[in-house]
Amino acid sequence: MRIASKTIYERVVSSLSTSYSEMCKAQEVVSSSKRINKLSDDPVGLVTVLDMRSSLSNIDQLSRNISMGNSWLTASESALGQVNDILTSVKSLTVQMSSASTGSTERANAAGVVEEDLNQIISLANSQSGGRYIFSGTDTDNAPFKLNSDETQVDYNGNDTAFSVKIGATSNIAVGKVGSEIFGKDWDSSNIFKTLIDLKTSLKNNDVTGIQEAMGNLDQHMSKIQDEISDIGGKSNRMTVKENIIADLKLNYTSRKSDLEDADVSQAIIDLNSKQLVYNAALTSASKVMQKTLVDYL
Amino acid sequence: MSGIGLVLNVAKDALMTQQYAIDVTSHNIANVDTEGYSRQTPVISAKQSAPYGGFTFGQGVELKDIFRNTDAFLEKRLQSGQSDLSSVSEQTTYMSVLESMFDESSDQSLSTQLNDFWSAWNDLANNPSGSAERNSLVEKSTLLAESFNNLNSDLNKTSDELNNSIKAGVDSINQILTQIADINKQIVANGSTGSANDLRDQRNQLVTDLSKYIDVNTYESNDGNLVVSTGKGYPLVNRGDTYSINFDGGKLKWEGSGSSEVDITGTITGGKMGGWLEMKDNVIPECMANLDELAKSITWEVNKIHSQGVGLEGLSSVTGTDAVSDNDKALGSVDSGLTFNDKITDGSFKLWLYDENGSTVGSTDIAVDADAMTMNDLAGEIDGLSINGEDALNSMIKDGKLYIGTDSSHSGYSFAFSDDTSNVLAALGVNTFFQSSGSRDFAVNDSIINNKNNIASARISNNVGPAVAASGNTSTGIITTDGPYTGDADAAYEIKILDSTQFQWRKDGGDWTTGVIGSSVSMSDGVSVNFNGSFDADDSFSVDVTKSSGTYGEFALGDNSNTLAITDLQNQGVSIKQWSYSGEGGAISDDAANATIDEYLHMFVSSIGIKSQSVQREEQYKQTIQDQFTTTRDNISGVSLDEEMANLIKFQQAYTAAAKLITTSQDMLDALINTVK
Repeated sequence: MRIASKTIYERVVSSLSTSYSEMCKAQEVVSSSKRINKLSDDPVGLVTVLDMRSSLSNIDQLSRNISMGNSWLTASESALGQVNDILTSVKSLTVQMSSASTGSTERANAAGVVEEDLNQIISLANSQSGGRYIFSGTDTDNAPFKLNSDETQVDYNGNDTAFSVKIGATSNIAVGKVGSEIFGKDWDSSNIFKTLIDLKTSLKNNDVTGIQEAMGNLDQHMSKIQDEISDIGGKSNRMTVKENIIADLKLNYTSRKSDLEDADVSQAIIDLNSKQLVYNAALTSASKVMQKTLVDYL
Repeated sequence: MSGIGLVLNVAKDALMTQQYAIDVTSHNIANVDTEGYSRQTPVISAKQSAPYGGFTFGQGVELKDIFRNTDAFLEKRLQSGQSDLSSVSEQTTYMSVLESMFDESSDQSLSTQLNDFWSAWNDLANNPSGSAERNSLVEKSTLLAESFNNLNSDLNKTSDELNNSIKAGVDSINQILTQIADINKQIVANGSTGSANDLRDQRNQLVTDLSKYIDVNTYESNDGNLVVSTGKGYPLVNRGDTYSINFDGGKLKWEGSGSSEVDITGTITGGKMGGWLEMKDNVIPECMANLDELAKSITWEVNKIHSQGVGLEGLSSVTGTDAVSDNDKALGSVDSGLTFNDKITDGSFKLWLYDENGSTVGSTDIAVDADAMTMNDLAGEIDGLSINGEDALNSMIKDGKLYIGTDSSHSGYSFAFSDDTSNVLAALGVNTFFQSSGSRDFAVNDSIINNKNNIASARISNNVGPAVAASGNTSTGIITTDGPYTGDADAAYEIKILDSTQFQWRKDGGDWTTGVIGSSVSMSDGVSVNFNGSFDADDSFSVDVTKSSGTYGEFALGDNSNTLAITDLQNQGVSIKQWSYSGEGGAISDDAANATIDEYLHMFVSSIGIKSQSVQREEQYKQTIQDQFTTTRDNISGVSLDEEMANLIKFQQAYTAAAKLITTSQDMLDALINTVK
């Protein structure tokens, strides 16, 4: 078969450019250690990579939400734990004060202690996390509890919706608390502040019946606070579980993303070497065949 | 005749013929690298023999023809292959431009911006009253919107570049057509006198050049005239006549005889022109349409939720972002000119009024009939509102946009919206987060940028859900319900229409109570129902109410319920139109079934990758085929130096031998003459 002289040149040019561009591509894979460098490298795999990327970004966000929620829960747990301790000590004080052998002076002194405890519980009920009141419902910018001027009543200024954070695609968890549900909604025996204020008054007035009444109420309040603490414990637990799930998901998504997106570096280097070899061979053969024609021998 | 004269004659012819052959060979050698040159071969044959002395003697040699080695089929195949190849390689070039616009490997990619956008909403949900979170949200959202704006302008720029390329391409085409016509004239004129090999090669090369721009058909008639037409048959050259093409208003026009112009845009599929037109008329518009849909979807979905909420403070004035084109056309109709007119449905929204101390004055329900209420009606109704005895609001239409503000006699008053079941607020751009009618003008609402407190993170506690019609409902009337609900547990109301004047209601499946249909009928626990329009017997509605939280009409700074609803969007399927453009089909849209905004973006970006990959592969394939055909053509028409050198030696030796004939015949003559002497 006759082959035209320019055919050989054209073949040389086209095979050199093909092997050169393949070598460049292989080099790009090695240097970026990514298999997908352009949209067209693997558009189908890219969809999954992008999905994984947004899932990962979402997961990072969720774990930020969870850690923010955890700080609220920790703050609530510690505040309520202290409230419980205070109530316990008030309880034992009350038991002591209800005894017939206690004198009116001791009771009057105890009234001062109870007042101190009351203030402390108000201040605990106004606990903050990151500058937000945690027992205020969603009205987090306002202190929920305030002792009125004649110190006879504590009003709730928050609202009835607990503050929630997002911990999953569709799940929110209430990390804040509606203060009135813990400390008492109505001004009656279910209200911790009323119990303490009444107790203080009874102690001042040396009113044993009032003191005994307070004892019964205190038990109720303590069990209420303990319920709330265990509720928070349950939520903390749920958050931990969620955190673990998220950590697993993160690992899973990262590895799926990496499978699709990242190059197997050793394979990529082998590819690069083989492409280099092909390019060298093309160069060598080109330099050989282009030298000679019949003219050289005439 | 015979004798020595014959020998001399034969020798002379042989010398000349071999010299011609060497001429042809040298022409071949000289043109070894000439583009489009076809190898020429001397056709040498023995002369007609003549009888002499009872024998027939050959009369020597002559050059019959100079043959041009071509294969017409291959040439045509090469030219159409060239058209296909040029078309896809232009598409490959421009697709790689598109690919780099939508590059996903950088931190500025669209999908990263979208992720950041969702994260910013999450951060706001964690701290709804935080100004840092609000600023960051506005900043991230602006970046997202700007990415869309930039992509829009990049796509437009690419479109402009394509237009320039097409203009330049049309000039080149017309120039080539004139050149072909010139050569046509020469070849036809040459017809009887010569074979015009080199002119044909030139013309062939011009047709190949033309094929790079546009797909063509050619036909050569017996007299050497080449008729060139477009792939779909519009004549371009016939003899010395050309029919030029021009580019006008984005369309390719073929100028026929006289002044007739035909739009041939859709018929061009090959050549660079085909590739450019495919990019300009299909790929880029499709990309743009899908980008616009995405921008509109993000705008709509976010706005729909945002417009239900309230910021850190009530509004003292608000101006919608989308304008109607006609104040007297129903808002829900296309004639209204609203971008999202099709989203408006029958329903209602609540308008709340607060006094200078921020205390709730009251609220009112504004019923919206999508097919009847006009902009004038809506502005008029709000303007004339008296909420709990106070006419504090002004409303008017400013440049087609709805304006609502507190009047001067009620300074310090503010207002807010909630429970919009009609989508009218989101459609008008009132109390919205984004504003856009596509990717070009996608932006964060100015009222948010000017006052970040207007980001509606909270919802007003109202507690009475919208009335939901039971399936099979045939009523054309609208039911709205009003609160506040004062009961102590969540409840559900059922409402049943008895006839055009009477209805029955019950709470939580209790006993039915009968009532008279009217504008505001109270049921129980503070819940009332309003009827608007005409109702059919046996139609029924339900209303869900939740236990009161907080005070009626109040909103808390730490409330993140509206923000949480927006963060839920990230994982919610939405219906987004997907456009596809093709030469034959025009623009077709399909509703993408239930993909999230993220997924839609990923599919969209990947579709650009797929298109790019497919044209790259097509280019490789076409290039391989074209290379094969080129090789085959060169095997026939290309010059082989080795062969020419061999021929040169062959002809040279024949020439030497012919010269020898002359010496021989001279010797013979000498011998004869000496004998005579």
